[in-house]
Order: sequence, then structure tokens, then C-alpha cells
Amino acid sequence: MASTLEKSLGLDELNYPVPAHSNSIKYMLGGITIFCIALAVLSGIFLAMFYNPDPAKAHASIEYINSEVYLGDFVRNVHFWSANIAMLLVLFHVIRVFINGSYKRPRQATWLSGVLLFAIMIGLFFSGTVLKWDQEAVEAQGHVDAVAEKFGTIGKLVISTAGESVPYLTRLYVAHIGILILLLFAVLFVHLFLIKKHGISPKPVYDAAVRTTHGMGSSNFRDHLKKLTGFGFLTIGFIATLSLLAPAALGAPGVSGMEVTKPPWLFLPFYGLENEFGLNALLWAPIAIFALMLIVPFVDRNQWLSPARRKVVVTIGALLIAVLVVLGYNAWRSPAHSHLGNLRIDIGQTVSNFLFPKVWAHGSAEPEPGHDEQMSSHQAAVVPSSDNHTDKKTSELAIIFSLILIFSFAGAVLVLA
Amino acid sequence: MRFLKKLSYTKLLVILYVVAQLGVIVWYAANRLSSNEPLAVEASQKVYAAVEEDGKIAVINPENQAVKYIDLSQTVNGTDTHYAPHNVQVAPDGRTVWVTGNAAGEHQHGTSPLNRLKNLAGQLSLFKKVLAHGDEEAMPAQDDSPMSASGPVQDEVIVIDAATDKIIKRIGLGQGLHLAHVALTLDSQFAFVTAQEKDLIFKINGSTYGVEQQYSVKAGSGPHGLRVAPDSVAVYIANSTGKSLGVLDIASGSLSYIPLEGQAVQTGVTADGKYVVASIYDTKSLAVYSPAAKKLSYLKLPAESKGPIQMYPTPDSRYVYLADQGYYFNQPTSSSVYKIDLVELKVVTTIKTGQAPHGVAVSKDGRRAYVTNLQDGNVSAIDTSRDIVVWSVKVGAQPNGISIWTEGAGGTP
Repeated sequence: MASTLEKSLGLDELNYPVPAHSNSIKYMLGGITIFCIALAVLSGIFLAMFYNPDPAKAHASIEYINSEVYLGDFVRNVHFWSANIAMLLVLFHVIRVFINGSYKRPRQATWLSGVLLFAIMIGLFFSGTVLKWDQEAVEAQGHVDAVAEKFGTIGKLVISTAGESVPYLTRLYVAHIGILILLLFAVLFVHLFLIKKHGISPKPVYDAAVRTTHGMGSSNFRDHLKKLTGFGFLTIGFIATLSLLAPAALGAPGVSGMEVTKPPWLFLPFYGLENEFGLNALLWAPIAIFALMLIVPFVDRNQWLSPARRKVVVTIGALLIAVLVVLGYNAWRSPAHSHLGNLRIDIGQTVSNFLFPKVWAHGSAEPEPGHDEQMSSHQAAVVPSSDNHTDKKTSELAIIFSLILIFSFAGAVLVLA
Repeated sequence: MRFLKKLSYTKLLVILYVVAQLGVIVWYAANRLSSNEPLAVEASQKVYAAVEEDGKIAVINPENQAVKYIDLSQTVNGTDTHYAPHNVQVAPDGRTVWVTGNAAGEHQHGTSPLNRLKNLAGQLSLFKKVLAHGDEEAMPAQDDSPMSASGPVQDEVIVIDAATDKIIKRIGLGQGLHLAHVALTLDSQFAFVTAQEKDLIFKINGSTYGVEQQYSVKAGSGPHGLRVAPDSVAVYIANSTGKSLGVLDIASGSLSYIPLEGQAVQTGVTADGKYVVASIYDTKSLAVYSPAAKKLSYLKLPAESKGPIQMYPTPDSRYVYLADQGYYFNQPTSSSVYKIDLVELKVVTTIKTGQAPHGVAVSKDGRRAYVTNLQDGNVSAIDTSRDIVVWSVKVGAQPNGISIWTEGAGGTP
């Protein structure tokens, strides 16, 4: 019966050999990232029901999610943390692939598709940061505008003031939930297909040379998938815990013309470079890093995978990573700097006032039905004793605790089995 | 042990991870679910903001912008009575925090336009006066105090223990008073409270919490804000409808009046006692009075001013941060806080904080000015060295008065 079902669903196709080392956690970082992406997509679907991409209402709609929507703050935290953990894991994944020489032939295309995925994920991460439309977001967009303007006419197409008929934030939202996500899954499909085609790269022992591992190995892909799912679940449990303990920040509605915040951790190295070299660094540093990533398979072309036999490339890569870490650390420690010149704050505030009129809830400019009654009962001299908030919080916590336990135990069982 | 030896490091870590997850849940449940009490913020500085429409005092930890709340409502004969706090004041000795709490339904100053209309309609139907807060002429006065099961509810001064952030005393002062501001002498021995609706000033003993004296200001004065001189000799009162600066001699209890060009909302006294300032809402100016020279001058605010409310001098007595709120009396809403040089008598900086900045307090070290933004429902912190907003935090609907507690240094007077 099971066998018939497997054949019917094509699951028997998953029963092929893979190298045993693919079951170690450092070779599963990319796979675990997919679980984080899936979680970000699911939580994003939930948030999309309440988020309003109108610049005048966006920030208030997030406040509404945080304060009014059942499990809203938790789901937003999950969205935030799954995105952050995904970026962290993908960074470690890239470093692991680099150190192990996994970009070498025949896996150049796998690496290039991975670099593209990395860029798309950064795009998603950045656009998600801006969509919350707080001070950090407005400042981030100000920097992108300033850089985009350096590209002349083409650059002006993507800056926040382009396109009068549709607000910039709305266009960014479409990119975040539509264009970038579609691109992500399309490239991810190619990436996974290429991994399947060439197999995972051999273990980089001293004499290991480039070769395909397709259809080779002492383990089985289904076992690998089981273990990967286990680690994926453990990560989801961890994200749920982080979401409970460390809520995602939401600053005050943004005021353009001010620079008082710092970017998210991923962009801190570039913020540090900007502190040293000005706005141009924001343009050239990412271009240089991605150019290096794109050319590395075509420069480091010998057959050896072991870092011990690729000392020059690995050393250059390690130095680059060290520089970025130091820049990021310094930027984290330094006070916020102004990079965009002396914009007139009152002009910025005028725009901000236009963008952020007082809204009541869920981005509606008028009180929602029932809101009047809530407010009048709130002001009544004699208020009936009730505490729905505590009840709600308790039931929310029960759900959150259950999620943490289910994913942690299920993950542990799958990994330990 | 044999079992452990068989485990790989990865598996051992997974087991530890699951145990840690369980630990987190148990810890979280034990610490958060069981606690419904407002927790005292453990910080070297606390910012208290009166969240008028929510009937709560927000306690902000400036270090991480964490906010706790002190609910001012109380249960009388099984029913909860809501108190709208207009002003909050940390005693200079830092031991207590004083709040003017108006039994809700009576004190509608600062509510949203929608609610003001609703209240207006409701009050007209009951043949009551139009609006509080000196808003135009009154209709025949009637008792508009809310009712509890035991009868009309009194407006109160509520005293909070600054160490625990729990209410330790409720001082009922009367019905329909529209208590506005409270300020204390530097030794925290006496608190003075304005009752705008009844043209009264109460003097309350800071130790026994008994009302020691009740002063009547000139009829129709509408006393609103007040501050005590640093030498605790006089109390300077902003008389709104009376368009004057009231001076209460604490020792003799005598009152004198300095006429002003318009409706005063709040007063401020510099730490050196050289200047007494008063915000004039309708003429959009700042009155600057020198008690020594008995000289009064005015600073006309910039043309874009919508109407100033509260102000607070810096500890060096050089500058004043003035919140230009507007919004009341059909004025457009402003988002500006002006930094005013008292020596040069000019606006030196305009800082955008949020919609309808209302209350202002400057920390004792002079490094931060905190502002409540009435319409945005948040509190903004200004870095006074750069005069920029460094953070804002949501506190609730219609935050009004604000005051600062500093460990070892007490409250901002």
C-alpha cells in the first residue's frame, strides 16, 4: 500500500544515493534556509491580510497588527526572525561553499544561481525593512534614492519619488510579495535542480578533486531529507522562541531629512564603509563584492577542493570577510552618522505630515465600525470590569508554546532517529 | 553514561536544545503569565507620562524604551471608575509621583475631535457646559461628575510610590474640579494643585497628604499650569481665561496677578530663579518675566506657530524647550518644539517631534528633553546636544503631562 502510494506520488524517485557527509549540519545550511524562507512566506501571507501598503497608512497598519490582530505581533516577529535567520544561514552557507571550493566545475552554474539567490534574498530583506515605514525605513530608502540617482535616468526609475500614479511603497510591496518572491522560487528551482544534477560537492579532504557525486554515496536522499526536515523543524522552533522573547522593533513613523538610525545588521559593513568613504561606498562596495563572487569560479580553476591547496583564494576570501566583520562591528559601535547632506528637516516633516496623518486603526483614516462605541465606553465614568487582553494573551501564549514544543520535539525525533 | 558516550555531539546538542526550549517556556510562563501587576522599571531614569485618554500613567525606561503602565482606575462598590490623568509630576525628592486624575466623563480636554463632538452633543443634551479647558463661555453650571454606585465620584490627586510604581494614596478633592496641574516645593513638603473649573489652588501636605489650604484665584481666571520657584517662595500660575500670571506667595498665601497679552497655559521657572516663563496660546508667544526686575517681555513665536502649550527650562537656565501643539480651539496641529534662548530671547532651533507636542520635561543632567505628542500617542526623546529626536515610543491615546525621575537625583521640579 505504502509502496503504491509512494510510486503514485513519485516519492520512490527520492530514493537515490547521496554522500554520507551531506547529512552533516554544515552541508544542510542551504536546506535549512529553505525552511526559513517557507516560514517567512507563510507568516507573510498572514501579515498581508492586515498590512496596508499606502504610505499614509502603512506604519499604522503595522501598529494595528502588533496591538490588535490575534497573534499579530507574534506572526510579525516570526516573519522578522525567519528572514534574519535565513540571511544568517545563507551567509554561512556561502562561506561553507567558498571554503570547500564547491563552486568549481561542474558546479559553476550552481554557484552562480546561488549568488543570484543571495542577491534576491538581500532584495527581499531590504524591501521588508522599508515596508515597515518607520524612521529606519525612511532613512534606508533615502540612501537607496541617493545611490540610484547616480545611475541617471535608469536609476531615477527606481527611486521613491518616481511614478506619481502609484505610491513608491505600494510598488515596493508588489516587488516584495510578488516579483522578488517569484524570482526567488524560480532561481531556487534552478539551484536545486543543479544540485541534483551534479550532486553535492565531495568532502574537501586534502586530495579531493572536483567531480560529480550524482548517484553516489553511502547515504540515501530520503534519509537526508528526514534529517534536513528535523533540523528545519528545530530552526522553526528556535525562531518561534526568538519571536516570543525578542519582538521585532518598530520605530516611530519616519521623518525624512533625519539620520538617527542605523541599518539592520546585514548592511552594517556598508554603513561603516559609508562612514569612511561617503555615499559612493554604498554603490561600489556591493558591486565589488558581487563581482568577486561571480568571477571566483572562473579564477580559482584548479581541480583541488581542500582549502589547504587553495591558500591564496581562501586567504583573500577570509580577509574580505574579516574586513566586512570589522566594518560592521565598528558601525555597530559608532553613533549614527548623517550621510545625505543637510536636507531641510521642515520640508521632510511637511512630507511626513502628509504621509502620516493620524489614523485610527488598521490604516483607516476614519474610525472603524464599533470604534466609536469602544472609545465612548472607554471614557464612561463607570466601566464594566473586564480584561479581555489577559484572556487573549493567555490563549495566544498557549498556541505559541504549542508551536515551540511541536516543532522542537518533532525536529529532535527526526534528527535523533 | 554509556548512553551518553554513544551520542554524537550533534545529537547531544539537539537534546540540550530541546531541554533549553522547555526551560524557556517554563521560565516565560512563570514570569509573565503570573504577573498582572505593573512592574517597576529598573532603570537609572524613568519617564512618567500621563496617558489621559487611556486613564494610565506610562512609565518609560529611556535605556530601552520599555513601557510599563500604572492603571489609575479604582473599584468602588464593584464597579471600576476610570480616571483621566492630565498631569504627572515626580516629587523633587524622588520618592513619590503625583498625578491629577479627573473622574472620566468630566475632563475632556485633549480628546480627539470625534470625541469632543460626541461629548459636546452629550453635554448639550444634558444642558451642561460646552467644553472644559477654558474653551469658551460656560452654560449654567451643573454637577457633571460621573456616578459610581455610591454616588458622584471625586476628582483626585493620586500619589504613586516611585520605587514600586504602585498607588499609595488617593486624595479626593471634590467633584467637577477639572484638576489640571500639580507641582511641588523643592523639599517636596507641599504640593500645589490647580482646579481650573472652580478657580481654586489646593495646597497638600507632601507627607500626610492632607489638604492644608485652599486658595481662590480671581473668578474666571481658569488656573491651569503652575510651577514652584526654586527657592519655594512663590508659585507661578498660568491663568488661562484670566489672561494673567498668578503669583502665590507661599508664606503669606496672598495672590497677585501680572496681566498677560493672552491665555496662559503653563509656566516655567529657570533653576536660577531669574526667569519665569509662560506660554500664551492664542497670541502664540512666550511671556518672559523677571521677578527681580519685575520686567515682562514677550517672544513672538515663528509665524508657523500654531499655539504653544508646555515648556521646560534647561538646568543651565539658558534655554527653554517649548512645545508648539496647536490643535485646540480649531487651530491647525503643529509638530514643532522650539528651543528658545532666554538671554538672546529668540528661537534658536525648531525640532520636529510628532503630531501635537504637548508636555515637555528636561532631564536633570540636561542631556534629554522628553516630549509627549498628543495626536501621535507617543513620547519623543530629544538629544539636547544635537537637538534631534533620538527615539519615540508609543504610550497610548492622548499623552499629556510628563515628568522625569532620576536615581539619586529625584524628580524634575
